[in-house]
Amino acid sequence: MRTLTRVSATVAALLSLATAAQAQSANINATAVVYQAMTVTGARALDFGNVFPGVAKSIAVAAATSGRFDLTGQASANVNLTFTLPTNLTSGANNLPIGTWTGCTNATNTTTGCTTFTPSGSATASAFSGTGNLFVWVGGTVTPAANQAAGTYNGTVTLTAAYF
Amino acid sequence: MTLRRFFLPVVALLAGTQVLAAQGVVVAPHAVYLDHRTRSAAITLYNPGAEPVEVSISAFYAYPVTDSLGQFTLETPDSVTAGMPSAAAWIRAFPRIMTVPPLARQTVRLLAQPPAGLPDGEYWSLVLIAAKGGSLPVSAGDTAGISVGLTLEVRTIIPLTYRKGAVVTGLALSGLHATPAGDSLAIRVHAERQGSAAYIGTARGALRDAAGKVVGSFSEPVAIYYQAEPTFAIARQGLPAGRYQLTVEFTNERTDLMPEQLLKGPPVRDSLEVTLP
Repeated sequence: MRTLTRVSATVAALLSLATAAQAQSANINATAVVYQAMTVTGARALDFGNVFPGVAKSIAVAAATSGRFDLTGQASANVNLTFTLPTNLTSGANNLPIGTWTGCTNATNTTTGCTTFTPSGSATASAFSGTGNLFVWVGGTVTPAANQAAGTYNGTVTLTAAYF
Repeated sequence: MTLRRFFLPVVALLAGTQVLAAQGVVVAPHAVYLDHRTRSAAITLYNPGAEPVEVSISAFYAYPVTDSLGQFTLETPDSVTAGMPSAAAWIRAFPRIMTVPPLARQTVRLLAQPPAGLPDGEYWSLVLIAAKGGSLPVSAGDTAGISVGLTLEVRTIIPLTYRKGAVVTGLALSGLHATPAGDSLAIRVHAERQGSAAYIGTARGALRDAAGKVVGSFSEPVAIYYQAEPTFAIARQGLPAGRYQLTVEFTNERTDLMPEQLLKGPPVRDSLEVTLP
């Protein structure tokens, strides 16, 4: 609603200028149609923090350090979620295996009562809420080897959201 | 002078929003339509984040179908053959790769360069907008130990439609049925596109009790490119056992798309008597 007000104000200002520039007054009709955009953002990184050699560590979707994507779009519209997931995280030439991915979606920004799924390269069908929101959480498990080299290991989780 | 209509993507109006500690782009509109006369369209990107976002645009051929559960999913052929109405090979984005600064907008022009002698009809593609931003913050690791963090990247896919000549669309419904599923009533109907163009619209359903009062409903955008058997749900929690009338209607209306971009056709309806246990 705030954006709509701003549109109207902008259009009105432009029309005032146009009118002032003319010697004779004239009426024109102006309408503005504002459509919902689609937003897909990576809102929070999946953060395992410190891990120890030989000790697997899991981050659940409900954890404060799980990864989170925020999506907005047309209310109740269908959307497909597809993930590109690493099998290893890297620190220089060193690899750290990662897997056992977990996922959850919800219409509100809480994992309570969310719908679980397994993130993968295959599409997961979902839908925006009645207010056009969708939140997606991602967790996983890293399994450092007993002789895992120290370092900061990084990787990327990619979410592809397809709108129909 | 008559200024008939401004189409202002909502992204043009987001400049006042706060900087987000997130990465990605806002994309508008939801769907792109080109015709053989103008052969061009535009999408607007907006970076709501605090860091620049690298964006790349590409096109590929796929179309929505429904799976065994009635959920919409993309059908991506292994290869695009001559008989497929694909526009992916002749859609060009300008620019194709760009960096969108924080809180900045970028217009991307999509130009069609169809082959000579293209027959009349409707051609489809999907536009993939890949956004790669700066790293999201992860906890500072112990430099003597092992620390692990993953950043998130996003890709947005929106449909593109190219029309040449007169195209028409319609829908034929069959096999409407409803099954209790938990606290919902699962409704499925076979929808087969008629005419030469995809059926883009909205499916609405209503469940009425014996007095004719609506006790449940749904409304969902749909895109039927060939045929589909989507599943819809109406909550049945608290509904007493008995007979109800279920009506389903498909119309060429979408609140997220400009009406002039939608092909018009008569509403299509079906109904069914439902007995709830």
